[in-house]
Amino acid sequence: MKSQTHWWHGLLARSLMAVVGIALLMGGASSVLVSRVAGERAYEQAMVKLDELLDTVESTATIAAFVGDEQLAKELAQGLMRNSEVLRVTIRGNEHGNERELARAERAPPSPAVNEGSPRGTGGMKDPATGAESNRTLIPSVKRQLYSPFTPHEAVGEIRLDADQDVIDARMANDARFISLLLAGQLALVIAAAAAAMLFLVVRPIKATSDRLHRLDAAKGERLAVPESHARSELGRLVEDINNLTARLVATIGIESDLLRQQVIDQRKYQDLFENAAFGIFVADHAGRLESFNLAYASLTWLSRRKEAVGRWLTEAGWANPEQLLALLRNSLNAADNQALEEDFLLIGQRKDERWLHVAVTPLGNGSVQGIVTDVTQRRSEEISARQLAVTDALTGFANRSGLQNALSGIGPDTPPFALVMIDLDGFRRINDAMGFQVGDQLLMMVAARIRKLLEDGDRAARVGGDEFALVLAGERGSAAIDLRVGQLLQLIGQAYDVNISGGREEIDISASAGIAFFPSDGADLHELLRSTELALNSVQASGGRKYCYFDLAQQTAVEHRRRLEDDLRHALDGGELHLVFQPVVDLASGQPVGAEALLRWSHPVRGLVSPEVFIPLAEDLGLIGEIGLMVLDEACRQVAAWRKAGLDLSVSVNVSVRQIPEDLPPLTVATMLKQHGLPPTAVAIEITEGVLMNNVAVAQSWIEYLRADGMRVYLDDFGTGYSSLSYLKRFALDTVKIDKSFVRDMSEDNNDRALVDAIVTMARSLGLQVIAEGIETQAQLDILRQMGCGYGQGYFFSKPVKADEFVTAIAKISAVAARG
Amino acid sequence: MTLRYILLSLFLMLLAPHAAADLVVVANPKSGIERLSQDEVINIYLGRYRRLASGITAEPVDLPGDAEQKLRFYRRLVGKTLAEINAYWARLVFSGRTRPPQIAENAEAALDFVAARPGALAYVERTQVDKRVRIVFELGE
Repeated sequence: MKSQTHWWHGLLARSLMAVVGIALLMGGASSVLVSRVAGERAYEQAMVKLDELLDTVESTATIAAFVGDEQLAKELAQGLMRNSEVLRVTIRGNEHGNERELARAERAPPSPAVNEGSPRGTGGMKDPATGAESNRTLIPSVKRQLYSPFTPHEAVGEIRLDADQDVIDARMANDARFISLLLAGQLALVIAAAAAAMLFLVVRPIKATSDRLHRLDAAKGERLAVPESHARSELGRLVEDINNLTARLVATIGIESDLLRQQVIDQRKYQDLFENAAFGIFVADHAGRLESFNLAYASLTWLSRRKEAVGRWLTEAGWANPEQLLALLRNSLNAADNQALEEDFLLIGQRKDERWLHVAVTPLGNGSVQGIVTDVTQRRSEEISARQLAVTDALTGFANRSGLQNALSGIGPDTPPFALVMIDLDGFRRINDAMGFQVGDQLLMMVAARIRKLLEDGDRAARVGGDEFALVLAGERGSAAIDLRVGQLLQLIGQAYDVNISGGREEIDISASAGIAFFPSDGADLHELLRSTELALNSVQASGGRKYCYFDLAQQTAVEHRRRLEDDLRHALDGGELHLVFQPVVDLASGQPVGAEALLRWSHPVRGLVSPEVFIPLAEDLGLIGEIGLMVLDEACRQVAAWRKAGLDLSVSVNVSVRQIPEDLPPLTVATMLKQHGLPPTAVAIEITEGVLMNNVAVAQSWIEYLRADGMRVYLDDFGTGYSSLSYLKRFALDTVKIDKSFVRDMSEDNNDRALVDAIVTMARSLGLQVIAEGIETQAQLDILRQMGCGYGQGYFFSKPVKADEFVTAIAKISAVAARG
Repeated sequence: MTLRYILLSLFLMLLAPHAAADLVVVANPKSGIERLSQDEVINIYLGRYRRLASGITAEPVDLPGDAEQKLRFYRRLVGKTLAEINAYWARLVFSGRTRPPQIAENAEAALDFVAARPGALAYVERTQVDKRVRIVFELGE
């Protein structure tokens, strides 16, 4: 505001200067233009004038030239000289080719002073007739050829008029001066008008507004008045804007002061909160110098309750690790995003009592941090006990699987060899299920106690599963000590247990199996070792348990082989590697084929044909048997439907595994499938083994009855190999028995077998069952069976199992042989 | 077409001697002039030169006022009316350098003048020509 204000800073002066400047510039430019135009116009006018002069004197000049009359020419020339523009007149005659000047008139040259800048060159310096002058090329001159008045093409002379440049210049200057004066006058008027407009339209209202603004007291609600007749001009809007801004400022200041008042109140409120908070609060700088703290902080850290924070340090308290606390402060201050950091710190009192404090620090933004301190001693001790629990089996007190993992996590090449023994209680689950888990738990505790009895220094024991114990025993592969100790262990565990059952005491026998693997040869870490012991254990259990077994590589190889085969089987199912072959079944009396047995084959892309004896159990284990069974049934149905459509009255039998019954092959599904293929129930027969019947008698019975109710036939396969109980044949609603091929094969030589087959046939007939003999290979066998009255047969003698597309040829051949016989 | 035009021309030529309006310029046989060109006649009669090729000063003779022959002569010679010829002379007379031709009273007087003075020239009807003068230029019809 103190800066000097000169008149030229004013709006009026500045705009006027701009207008004057522009006017001068324009005036200068236009005066140059005007003088140029005036000059050109003067020149043109002079030329026109000269031309007109020539027009008026031409005829007389012609006559003068024609007759060569110098007197006439002279008079003419002098007459022309009366025109002020004419500087010089020259008339020339042409008589018989002789050129001659007839007359010449010329104005006396003006005084040299006037003529200094523009030498006229008329003083005879040059031939005046040419009229050429070096630096006055602009001098207008008019020359006209004169022709004879009587013979129009005969030139008789010429007349030339030179204009007087000075006269032209003078006229030009006059014109220019006049126009310039006019222009200057106009400009002056415009400037005056602009100045007046500026003064009255802009400067005065602004000045007035500005003066009013100086005196304005906005706080009292005063507002600027809009200058008269400026309600809609920019100035009016400016005043409006200033008023709005003022209003907003006043409002903002009001809010601000309210806030300030609120802040003071809040501060008082927070001060109370701070002082009386249940948790400790402190504010400290990066070095741990305290700026303030509350009572709770003092009592938590066992400091005296003296209030003054000045000169007090965070590290005064008995922190077990004060450096760590200071590092936390620094990290919090250095954190990019004002992050709160927290950590637990141990505080040790003067009487060596411990206290865990949780400290959460937040930077305040001014280089200091605020800390919240809470006592977490209770939580810390709980955590420690919980961590203990996590690695311990609560029931037996042994380590659990995590505990074992922790214990063995550090094993490496330097670790001395040891044995991992996995002990599993045979049939424990059955006891647990039958007698309740209280009994199971008692039993487990007793087993654990017996194991503990045999542990030596350096051994570890863990309960790694429901009834699985893992022992880590020092010793190498092949050491007699391990043999001895594991043997003792199993023997000890195998002794009878006196268990408390619902008040009474009862004796329970339980045996154990053990799998043993060695570090490092059978596994480099716990995971591998556990897997090895599991494999060894599995092989013990597969052979009935009650023993121990060392892990060997063959077990692993077998397992891997089986696993690969499993993968392949899954793949085979998707990839269509499984297919059916059909072995014709022949009516032995007529020799005519009546049907076929569908058999499943797997052509493995690498291994070739895989025996069903290998892959069917595999599929059963994998739970694939249901899917495969359905596929087989569907495919068989499709095939027999195709044959029937082709006019072959055949039926097909399909083998069903014990695992398929009843869930994987519900009778309803079978019936639906037959319907889908448009087959009568008699077209497809189901072959079951005695195993199906034995597995769950009630279920098998109802399953078979459902099928039979639908009109389907059920065969009993492999008859003679199992229990071959006659009671089954009576009890189950069967249609047909198939005599196992082992009897048929040995029949001719061995009279026992022959007698057996004879008995089966006789018995079946008496029960109203059909009989199919399997594995007929020779004419002799066929003859014997015919003689016995056996109804049907199948075997290589008729045809081996063939693919569907070869089947028709095969039965045609059988028919042909029968016809011949 | 061409043939008819030629025939017509021949017919007119045969008729020519009998035409009344046939002006010629005559000179004194002693003038030493056999023929004059049209330009020479114009120069002499309109005052440009007054000297014949033989060195004698020419003295052209004009007819007075509005004589029919005078009118015809100037029309044939320069294609101008008598008023124009008079205006021409009016401008020259003031300077005094040259004068218009002398005026004879009539054709007879003109012929006499020519016969009398060696530098004299006059224009007359062809029919009026006699042995005292020589035809030096024919204006034709």
